[in-house]
Amino acid sequence: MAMAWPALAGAGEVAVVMSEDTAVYRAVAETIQSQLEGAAAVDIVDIPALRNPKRKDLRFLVAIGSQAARAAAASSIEAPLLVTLLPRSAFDRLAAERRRAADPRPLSALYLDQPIGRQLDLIRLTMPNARRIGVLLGPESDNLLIPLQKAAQEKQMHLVAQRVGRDSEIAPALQKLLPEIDALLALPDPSVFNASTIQLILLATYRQQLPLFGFSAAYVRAGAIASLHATPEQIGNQAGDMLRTGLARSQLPPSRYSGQYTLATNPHVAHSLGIPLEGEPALMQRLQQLEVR
Amino acid sequence: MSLALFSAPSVAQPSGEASERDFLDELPVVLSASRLVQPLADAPGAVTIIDRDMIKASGAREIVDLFRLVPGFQVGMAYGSTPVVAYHGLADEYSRHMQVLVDGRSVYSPYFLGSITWNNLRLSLDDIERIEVLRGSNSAAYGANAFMGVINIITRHPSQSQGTYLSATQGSQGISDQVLRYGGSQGDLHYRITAGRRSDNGFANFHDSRQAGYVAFRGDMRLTARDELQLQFGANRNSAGAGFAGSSGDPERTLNEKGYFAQAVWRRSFGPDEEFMLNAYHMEDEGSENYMVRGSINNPFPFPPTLLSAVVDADRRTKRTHLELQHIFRLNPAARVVWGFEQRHESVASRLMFDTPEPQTTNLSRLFGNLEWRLAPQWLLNAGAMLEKHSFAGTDLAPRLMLNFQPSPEHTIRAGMSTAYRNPSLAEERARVRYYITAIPPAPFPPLQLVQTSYNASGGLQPERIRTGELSYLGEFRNLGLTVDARAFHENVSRIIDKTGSPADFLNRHRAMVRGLEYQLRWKPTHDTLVLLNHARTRITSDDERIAESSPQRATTLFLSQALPGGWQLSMTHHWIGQMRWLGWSNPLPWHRRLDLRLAYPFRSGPFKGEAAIVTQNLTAPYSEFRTDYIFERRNFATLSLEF
Repeated sequence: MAMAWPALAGAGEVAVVMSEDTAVYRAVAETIQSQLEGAAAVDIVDIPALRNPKRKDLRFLVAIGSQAARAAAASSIEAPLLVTLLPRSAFDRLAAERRRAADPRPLSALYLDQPIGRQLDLIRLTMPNARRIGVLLGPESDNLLIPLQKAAQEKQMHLVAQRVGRDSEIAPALQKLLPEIDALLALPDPSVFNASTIQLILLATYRQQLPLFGFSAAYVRAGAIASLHATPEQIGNQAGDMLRTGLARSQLPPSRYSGQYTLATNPHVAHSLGIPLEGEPALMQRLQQLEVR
Repeated sequence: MSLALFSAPSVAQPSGEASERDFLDELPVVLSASRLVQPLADAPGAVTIIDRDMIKASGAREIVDLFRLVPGFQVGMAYGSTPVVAYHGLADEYSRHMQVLVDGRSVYSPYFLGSITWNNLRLSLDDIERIEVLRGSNSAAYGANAFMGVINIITRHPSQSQGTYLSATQGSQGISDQVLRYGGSQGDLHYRITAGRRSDNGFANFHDSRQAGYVAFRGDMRLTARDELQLQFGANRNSAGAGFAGSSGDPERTLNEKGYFAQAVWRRSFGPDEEFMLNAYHMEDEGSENYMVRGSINNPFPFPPTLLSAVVDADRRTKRTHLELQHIFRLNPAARVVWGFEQRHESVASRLMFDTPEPQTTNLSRLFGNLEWRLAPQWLLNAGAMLEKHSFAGTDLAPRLMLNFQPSPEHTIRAGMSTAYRNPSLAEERARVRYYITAIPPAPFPPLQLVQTSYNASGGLQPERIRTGELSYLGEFRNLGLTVDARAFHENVSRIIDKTGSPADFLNRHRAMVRGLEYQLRWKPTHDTLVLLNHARTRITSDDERIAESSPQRATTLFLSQALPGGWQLSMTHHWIGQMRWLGWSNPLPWHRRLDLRLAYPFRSGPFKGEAAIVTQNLTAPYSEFRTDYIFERRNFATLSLEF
């Protein structure tokens, strides 16, 4: 293992720890590595390498994915920790644990999810008359209610939420929710939105002639009308930027959402729902203009 | 402590917590190419959609009642409580000019003249997701039998009907229906099983009471993110009264039927614009109807009459096996192609019909394709054709061309033409009905055997042909909640098969020209109100005067559904149907009105959801349904349903 994976005892000033060695995590790690070329040496390691925390000269530790983030946060490594490729809810949980433990080590994040305001902007651009945005809230997304309501208010929209505890509650919740809304926004909460529930959710929204807005390319393939998401390369790029700033100021910038993102649309679903949809480049341009304003 | 933590093989992701997996993992393709409903503006022809809300609000007790709400349709109840459905007339008690599919499975029965056996559908109204009625012939996509139109019944995905559902209906004329359904899931399998019973006494003074019992199973299993397997099974057992009290030639008797089907559909989806589908099904139905007919011949005085008797063995067994492969793909951003082929084998065994116990068989091979080509943003061309090889009707090509022009999102104008065929049924081609009569003359003459031939088909029939030209308009005014759907048609039907002579033979005898205009206004100003106004004007000219009278010249339907304060739901349907006659064993029916009312109260209590509803069919004066002596009197029934 030490042969394949440099222990944290390597020479780099930045260590990037991946949740697992698969294409997605590799893509993020290698993008960070190439971003920092010339600025800092980067070691790419896996979770077990964190067991050897002897390094004192390590300037930043980067964790890619939730597992790596949890492992890095639990390790005794002193270097400031940047976590990325994880949703905000996972980061908030980590940060709360650190606060509880009065752990003073600096922690910052580049979230994988898209800011709510940006997602509402997308809904507004594709459906100018949509006012009532529906969400299904589960245990993981329940605390999003207040920020969601606030963001909706700012966009002159109205948020309609239904709480769901178990899988079996999804169908009745949709039955109540769907007649009240113009579009459904999916939220990353695995007890509500997962590979087995998506069928029920998409079939029910489609039957009511309502679009679902997703948060990954897979959602759009499954039948969501559109989604905003950051690709691994975009995450890697942004994390690289944050690290460059961090290296220059010897301090990590505060947590933020990815400024780079990708739009995916499903023109077939839009057409079937009778929603006129612009091409992806044009829609993307309008979305970015909205954000600049 | 940290060491202890990391001695575990990995830090397990607590289930229920969001992680990057939610963003990165694959999801199944749910809204696949075949599941995406074509917008009405793109449809190659006029389509009426009957959705669940409509099914409920209509107060329909059986599926055929729903077609009373489709412009241009006629619905009746014929001999032995056999429902008949026709579009633009030309129909007798065996409605055989329309294709009916349930989840892609043809329920057209090859027995006798061919017909839709509506009483044997093994289907509960509550399991229907929606019905698409394609008004106008569409053999290019659905093959022969899609002669005047297509009725596509799509059942609910089992994930949409989880839990237990109970419903009981009780009413006048012996109406008593029950449905029990359970929907569950097991990993990636969603299933539901429905069992039901339906019974009523039919028309007063006729021996036509009916009972139907059925079970139906549908299971949908996700195999991979791309592959889905759907399995369906169903079985039924029906009985219905036939014959007439006091008749010795058509004595009162009971027809017992039973049957089953099994179907498997496998879909592989490559996204919303490419899909493979393999559909295979097998069905068998049998009827037992064994009875004795009696008669007599008078002899010169003083001899007593000669007594005649014959055993009629009307038992029958029909089978169909069907295999179909369909591929949907996008040729380029502007063009989509659906193509595929089908192979079908049918057999009918009926000693009465063919004078032999040997099953008679038909083989059918079909190759079909349709190109949906957006010529320009406002212009859409649908060009399709089906090549059909039938074992005795020969090979035919049924083409269809439809051009849709959508100058603005509200307005669509369609113009098109098509040719379609109806293949002769096995009975029309090969019927040989012989009665083996035992005659008992007065003593001292010995009993003797006579053979009377009542049908002797000479065969060699050509398929019936329809050439259609149509112009239709679709107006969708979303901000008003208004949809206007109008169709002007010119249907030239030739080689109509009819029986003639004694013994009867089937010949390509008649022609008919069906012309007219029909429209539907659908207005949903708020969530609480729905108004439908249908009107159809149809004029048939034919060398046969019965055919010319087989559709009402005018028919109007007004449907209203309104949510009332306190959660009550009220709906009302009023029909005005002009004078018409069904062909076959029927006579001219005068014009009539019919008013149906439904009042429902949905309720919810804890985990229970339910609805109590009362329906009155034909609140106005009694009218005649199929023959002047089949009097449809007022029917009342109440339904209580519970879901948990």
